[in-house]
Amino acid sequence: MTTHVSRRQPPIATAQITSPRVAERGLLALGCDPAFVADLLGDLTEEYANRTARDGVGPARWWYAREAVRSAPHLVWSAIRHGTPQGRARLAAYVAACVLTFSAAAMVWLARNGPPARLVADESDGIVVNNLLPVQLSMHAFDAGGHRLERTDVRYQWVSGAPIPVSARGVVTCTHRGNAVVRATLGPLGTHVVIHCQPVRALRGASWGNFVLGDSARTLELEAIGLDGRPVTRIAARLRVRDSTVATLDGARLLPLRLGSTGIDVEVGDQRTSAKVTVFEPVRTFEGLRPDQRWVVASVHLLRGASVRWPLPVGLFFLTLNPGSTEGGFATTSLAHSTLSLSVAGPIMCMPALGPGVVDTHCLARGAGATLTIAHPGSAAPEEVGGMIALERQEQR
Amino acid sequence: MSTPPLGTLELAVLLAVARLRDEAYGLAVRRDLAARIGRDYSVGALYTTLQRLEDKGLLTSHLGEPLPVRGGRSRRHFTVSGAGARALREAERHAASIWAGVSTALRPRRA
Repeated sequence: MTTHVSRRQPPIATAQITSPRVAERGLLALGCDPAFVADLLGDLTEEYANRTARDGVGPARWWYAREAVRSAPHLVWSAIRHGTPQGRARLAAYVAACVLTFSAAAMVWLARNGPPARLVADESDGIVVNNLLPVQLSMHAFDAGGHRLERTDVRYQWVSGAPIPVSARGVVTCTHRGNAVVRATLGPLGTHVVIHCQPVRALRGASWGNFVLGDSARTLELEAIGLDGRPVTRIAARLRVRDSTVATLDGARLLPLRLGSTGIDVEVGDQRTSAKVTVFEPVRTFEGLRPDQRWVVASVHLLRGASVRWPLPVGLFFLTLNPGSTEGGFATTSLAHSTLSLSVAGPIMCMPALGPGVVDTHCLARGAGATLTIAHPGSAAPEEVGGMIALERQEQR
Repeated sequence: MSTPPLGTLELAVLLAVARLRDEAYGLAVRRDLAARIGRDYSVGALYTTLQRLEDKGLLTSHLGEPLPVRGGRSRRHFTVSGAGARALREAERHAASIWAGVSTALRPRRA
């Protein structure tokens, strides 16, 4: 049955109605219900014609595009409900392609770099230079979105302060202590940065290597000596723990994590040094050590005239005496004045031989029966003397 | 036989079709809804609802003549079926029962 509509029709804008045909073909190809597509596009076309006559082509097109986007979920649902398996597969591929395209476009848009907007130094108050040799200054450029820009065309110019040679490309040579202000420019951006020249000639005393498991983090103390022989007060050190499962760095603090031994590499300016870090297991004595107990430490307190004797394991090991109180950690910060007296007996040889002033030694116990005797040193020492004795067994090869 | 429950949009569309009688096709229903409840439903949402009502047997439809203004497509005209009429009456009863006992001051004024 056909029903004729008596409502007055607005002027027809068939000349502009081309996009619905394209849309119809696309939607049918996706597997949408043909009747649903025809009804929907028919209404869109009719309203588009009405709006073209009433409002003009621009607003009508805008309305058409908006309605097409709003109707898209319903068309997809229609395609899912009424489409053939092939149509659904095409729809899935189409949706996946749209999602991928959109995601890729979004990622490209988010990752794009804008023009440089900020130029900053490593530290807010300037750049520390500990090198004796010429070194390249490092400034970091960022765009307005905070993306770091790989820019090598920063230009530098000495402005004031100590007469430090600075090239236009930012190579600085620190021959003596002093601070200088340098202007760094990148295109229209410009900033002043303080160069702290603190050249380091040598590094001393990386002696923060012994921990007992469970110790809290300890600040690394490192003495850097300047060209004039005086300590350098400001250093920019690069630290690296070789085995970060044994200990880890939190800024300039070292935190022990598990029993073991590792090294720390320290780099300040052109100078390099390294230190050993060992994390020991606390034990009461060295008696009855299991083969897997490789790093152990025992605390000893003796009154005048007292001594103890412990059996030592067979094999190669390293003995260390940490003198003084066991309070406040286990750092061999002072190797000079041992007050406990150590001696070995039995089938064992130590190098250097234990004696006054010897606080660490390599020992080889060739068989069972080797012992370590720890004694109060005698009347010249205080009534009570304490210390910690560490034993580090070498791996058997 | 009990009629399936109607959603808000379904009820509004069914009433619009009943009101528009011979002129009940998609665009006209959409305009009617916009004028009466102030909501600009998308064409897709409207046809999804019309199709669902037809699937439930509450509406029937037939195609008119192809029209140039629709790019040579026909209008699909909708009519409330017997089941649709029962559903409307049931919805009205249901509405009356849930409004029963409510103070007249809270009731909507009839135009």
